[in-house]
Amino acid sequence: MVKNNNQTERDIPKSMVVQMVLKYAWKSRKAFIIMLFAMIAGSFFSMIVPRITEAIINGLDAVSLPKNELYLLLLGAVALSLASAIITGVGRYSSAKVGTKAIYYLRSDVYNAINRQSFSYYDKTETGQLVARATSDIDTTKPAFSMGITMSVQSIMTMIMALVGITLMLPIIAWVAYVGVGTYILIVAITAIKMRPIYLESREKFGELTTTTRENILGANVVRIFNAQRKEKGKFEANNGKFRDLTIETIKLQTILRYTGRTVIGLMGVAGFYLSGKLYIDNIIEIGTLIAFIGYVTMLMMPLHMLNGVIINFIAADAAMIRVKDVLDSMPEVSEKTDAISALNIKGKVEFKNVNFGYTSTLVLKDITFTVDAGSKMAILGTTGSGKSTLISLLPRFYDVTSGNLLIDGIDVKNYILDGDNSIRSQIGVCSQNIFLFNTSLADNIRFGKEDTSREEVIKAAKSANIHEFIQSLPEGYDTIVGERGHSLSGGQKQRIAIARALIIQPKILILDDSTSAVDVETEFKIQNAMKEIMKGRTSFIITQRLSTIRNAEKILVMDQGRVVGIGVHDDLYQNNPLYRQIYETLFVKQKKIDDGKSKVPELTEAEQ
Amino acid sequence: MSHRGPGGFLDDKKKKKRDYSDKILWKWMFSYLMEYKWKFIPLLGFLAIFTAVAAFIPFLQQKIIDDGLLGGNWTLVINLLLIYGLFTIGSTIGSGFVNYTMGKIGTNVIYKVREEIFDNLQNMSMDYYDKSHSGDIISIATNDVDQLTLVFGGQLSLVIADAFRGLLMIVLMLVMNWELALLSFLVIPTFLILMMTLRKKARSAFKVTRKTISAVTQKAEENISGMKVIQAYGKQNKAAREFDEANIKNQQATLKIRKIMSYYIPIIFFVMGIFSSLILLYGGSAIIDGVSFFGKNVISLGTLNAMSNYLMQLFMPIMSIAMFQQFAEGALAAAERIYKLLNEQSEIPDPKKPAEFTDVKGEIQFKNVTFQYSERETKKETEIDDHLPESMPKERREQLKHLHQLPEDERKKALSMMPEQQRINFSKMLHLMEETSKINTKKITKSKKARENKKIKQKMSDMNNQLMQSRMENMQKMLKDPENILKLALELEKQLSGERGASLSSGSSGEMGGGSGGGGGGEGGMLSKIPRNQMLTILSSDKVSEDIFEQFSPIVKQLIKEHKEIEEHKLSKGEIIKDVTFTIPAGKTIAIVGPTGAGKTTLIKLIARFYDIKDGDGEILIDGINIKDIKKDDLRKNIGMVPQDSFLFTNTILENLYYGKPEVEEIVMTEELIEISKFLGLHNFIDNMPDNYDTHLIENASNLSVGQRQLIAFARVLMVNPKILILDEATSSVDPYTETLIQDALDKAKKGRTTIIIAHRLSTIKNADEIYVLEDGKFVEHGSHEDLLALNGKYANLVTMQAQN
Repeated sequence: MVKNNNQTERDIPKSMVVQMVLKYAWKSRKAFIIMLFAMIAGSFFSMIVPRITEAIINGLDAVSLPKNELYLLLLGAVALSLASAIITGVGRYSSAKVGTKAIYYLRSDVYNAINRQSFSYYDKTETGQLVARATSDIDTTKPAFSMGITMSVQSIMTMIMALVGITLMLPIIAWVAYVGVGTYILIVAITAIKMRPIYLESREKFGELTTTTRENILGANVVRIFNAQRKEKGKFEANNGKFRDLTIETIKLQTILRYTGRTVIGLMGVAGFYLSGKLYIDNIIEIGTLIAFIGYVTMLMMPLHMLNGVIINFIAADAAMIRVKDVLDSMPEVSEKTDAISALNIKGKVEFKNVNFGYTSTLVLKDITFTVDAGSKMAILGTTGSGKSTLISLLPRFYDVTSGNLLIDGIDVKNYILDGDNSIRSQIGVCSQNIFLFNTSLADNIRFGKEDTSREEVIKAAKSANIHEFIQSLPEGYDTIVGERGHSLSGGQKQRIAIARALIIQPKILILDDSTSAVDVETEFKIQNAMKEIMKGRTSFIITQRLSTIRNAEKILVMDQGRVVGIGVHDDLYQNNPLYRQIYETLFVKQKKIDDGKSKVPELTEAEQ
Repeated sequence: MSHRGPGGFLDDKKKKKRDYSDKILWKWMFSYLMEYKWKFIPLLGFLAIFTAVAAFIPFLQQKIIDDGLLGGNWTLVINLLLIYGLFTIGSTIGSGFVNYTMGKIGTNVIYKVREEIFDNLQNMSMDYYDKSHSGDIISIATNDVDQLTLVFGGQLSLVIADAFRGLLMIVLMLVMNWELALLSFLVIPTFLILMMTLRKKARSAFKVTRKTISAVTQKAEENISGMKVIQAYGKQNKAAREFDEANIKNQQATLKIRKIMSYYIPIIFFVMGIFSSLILLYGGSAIIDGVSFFGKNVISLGTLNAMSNYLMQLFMPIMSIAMFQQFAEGALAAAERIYKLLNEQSEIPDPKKPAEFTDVKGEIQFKNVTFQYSERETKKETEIDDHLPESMPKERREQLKHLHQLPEDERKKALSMMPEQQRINFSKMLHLMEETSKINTKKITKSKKARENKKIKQKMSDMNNQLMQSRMENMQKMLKDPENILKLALELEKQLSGERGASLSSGSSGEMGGGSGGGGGGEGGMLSKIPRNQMLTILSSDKVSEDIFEQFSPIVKQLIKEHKEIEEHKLSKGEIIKDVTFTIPAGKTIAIVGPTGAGKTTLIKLIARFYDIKDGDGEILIDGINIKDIKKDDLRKNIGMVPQDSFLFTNTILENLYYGKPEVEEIVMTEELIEISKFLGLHNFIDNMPDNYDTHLIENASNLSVGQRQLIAFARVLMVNPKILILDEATSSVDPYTETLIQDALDKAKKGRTTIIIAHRLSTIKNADEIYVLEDGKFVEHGSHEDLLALNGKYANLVTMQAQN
């Protein structure tokens, strides 16, 4: 709630639409220039048509028009409108090109901007929000690019040409058109400025409304457990009501924009009629000229209506555009060096040298120093929040160290290639606690890291992860589609698939972050056995709560509050490290007196600090 | 999915078929407007008047020119201009007002629809959430409602007004000069033809655009949600390339359609240009000749001008009606989904006369409880599926569906390749399927439909049995020859190790050749066409003797063994809980252990009535009261549950912790909270968060570790101090040390509460008063830790395994 207040109170951001539309339109500058010229030529031709009407009517009025001259004039009119149609068509097509290309480039840029971000960015930003940037937000800005470009150019051109036509034909009363158009533009500008903040706020409220709805669907069971239906309803109702009020406010402004504009143009027509009528009565102009003049005034209406639509389009696109711009402007924290080297032949020796790290300014890892030899196995142990997962996420450079060095084979990880088949990441297999599966078949999920893997190898990996039998039991086996829109799997099943996925790439360094927490004991036992074989020759980091794994590790790292408080083998640590013994015993030995344990641990952390 | 082929056009038609008729949906939508009928109907009237006024303007212009200016009557000109001005102001301000008011009504209606949807979602049982994709529900509640905005947001009234204006213009034109009017009207069919050709051209192009844009969205969604995995495997560039491919395809498809549109609008203008030239030609000739083509009519200059003006305006009503038709289609589809959702009943109603449920002790009793989830709706299945008997094997189901969709001649060809008996049966079944489709489109009452459908289903079932029978006979014939069996095993092995290897889905329709599925062919060539599952059924039958079995390769043997297990599992008819009876005395703690899928979670969800036991399937009592007699609110108030995957809200940690508490103006930290949070070892890590307890959790609380999330979820429950505490793997991802803290907390928390713990970690369960081992929906052992160890059964086995570990 506190956050929301901040949002409504904060300054209204600068509008980005015009700037962005121009920037992206200019990317197809050839088509853009063709469009400009075609639109000018098209409007020029259509400007001439009223003059032909003028000639015909004047001739008819004076009863002096020979028939073949009438035919000739009409033929000219048809030819002109044909020419105008063709050229306008070309102009519109070029503008369509500009518009669709602009959307393509923008979408591409946004996606790439998201793609190059590092983990810290994804931690801060909700996935749904990011997806929205690359999809629905771009869709919202689409009209500004497609109809926006076409209509604004065409309407401005037609408007100018109509004004030129009026000025050329009847300069004495042309001022009425200038006054009309000027007033109209003023009204549009004022309403647009008023409408923007309201529109922005209404979009924001809409976002909140959607979030409430979403959470009530995704968290339906929690809402029910806590009997919170009424509470949620209250939250929803408040948002819904606010959104309604803002929508009505926008409708009001839109109506003002549209209909006062129409009134002004209509009155301009009346005034034009009066003025030209007076001229006719005074015998200064002929009736045909009057009709042509009225024709020009009518011609002005269309572009002005169109401009109306363009303005609303632009305002609607504005909020989304600001968000899109935000993504485009954010710089990734982890990036590849220009002279990065291949990691294809690394052995897997890992060294932490005085590594400090914090997601924010608070350090989560403090002065970490240790070495793991290539091919050996390290178990990491520690309390919740002691920094275990953070520690291992530095290896594949999900985050970069704040200070200190992290070396693989004696080379700083920052010097390796980051993405691709010879990258450092392709040499590290990670099974984390949160598992994301793609909406493809199980087989494709398992071979995600190495697509050319044969079916047998997939099955082999699945067997090692003890998931083969389960997959076989599915009616579509390895072709079962999983992921968000596919077959739903339990946490344990997902974990096992993630293990198989990591095994496929034959990583030099294998990281298992509590990767079997949701698997039952029996299955885990089987996985453990299979893994023994696999881990041979690979540097492995295992965060686990299983004693056998811990005991079998060549090195055990004990962490507490972001520091390494012990490193060594089981027997050693058991003898000398109180926290290790503590954790070990709670796991293995009969229930310890809790009070005892409680008093011990704080002591230890104090001693460490 | 791959074989739509010639049926593409038909597909389009099928998509339009809805569960509810357009009439019902329109009626439903109008029911919201009816609340405002005293505003809405007069508004429509006003709108008609105001638009009518606007249609008079060219008419006025004609009078000004002809009677005023050409007639030399300046006073008349001034008077008419005054009327003109008043008309302009009146019509624009009037329609502005009407539009605003209608927009307001529309917004209010949408507000109400949203609220109704939300209310209904709140009342829905968990069952609904289980059988629907959350994404779909979210999309209905957001996108589809947006679609409706178009209907209620004034589009409808604009169309009505436009149509009215069009009619009025036609009348006025005829009044003014019928000859020129009729000539002008020729523009209408021209427009219609143009529009029809455009639509035809655009339709296929639109389809492509829709497809490509959804590909873009899908790729973006997938890649962005999986970005961490993509980066972890160093696949960023590859993912970017894939996205670019989808993106460029979309750009090209969009450009194609916009190209059509680009030339379309100038063409319309060109047509209007031609017609105004024609009017000038006709009228001009008449003026020059002094007589019109049809003689009598004298055409004035003002008329000529007014006619050209009307001509220019004729296009608008035509266009807006055409557009309305298009968007009404979308609105109806959205309306249907919303309507369906609103009609979805909350399955678990509160009892009419709820039992008093205060001063709860917490004794829980299960009496012969059997439970099975209502059948899950899988999205792929069409309505045809409902009519195929459940006993029908999946592959045959797929095969039939496939055949059903094939064009006539291809279907015949496919059928002709089947063995005699099968062909006859399949033909009959396909015939029945046709009937079913016909029934569904027939205009008969629902109950009658149901009856007829039932009949057909029975027939189908009989036929299915016959087919099974004949297949069995065929199989037996075949199994007489061991040679055949070995061949089959070899074929299976070949498929398993084959390059593309296992398309293990025997039912994947793309590979279903016409003649597959006939078990009895026996020829080598035919063998490869037998679906995988069927091969396995044959190979695992008892008829295969021991010594033949020994000759199979290890991989085949393994498969056969697995197949047998799965078949056995299927026989359990989907019952998750099977006749479970037990009692938990008030204040005691029990633990439930057992393998994944044994039904542990289901069992406890029943207590909170997330699902209801069917009548006659036993009952659950708390303090001797059947939970069905207790108000859901009262019941759940007394139950604190920490589910496996605890959902945290995008809110501050503090507000999450207070989630179960009654709502207050402002949440303040209390001693109680800090105590609980210290108790669970939560306080420390929260203290390290950037804003401590006010740290904002992002979507899915992904800025916390799983263990941290579990701790918060646990604390959240303890805050409400429930009589019955249920922990479902609530601490599986916290570290052992923290778990000892939790154990301690739990030991204290347990006092005075009935506690049910599901866990696989021994340390968590050992101290329970009673441990139940659940397997396949049944309790196989129960007793204290020591008792069970002494029993040396499943539990003891589990313990040993964990100790070894």
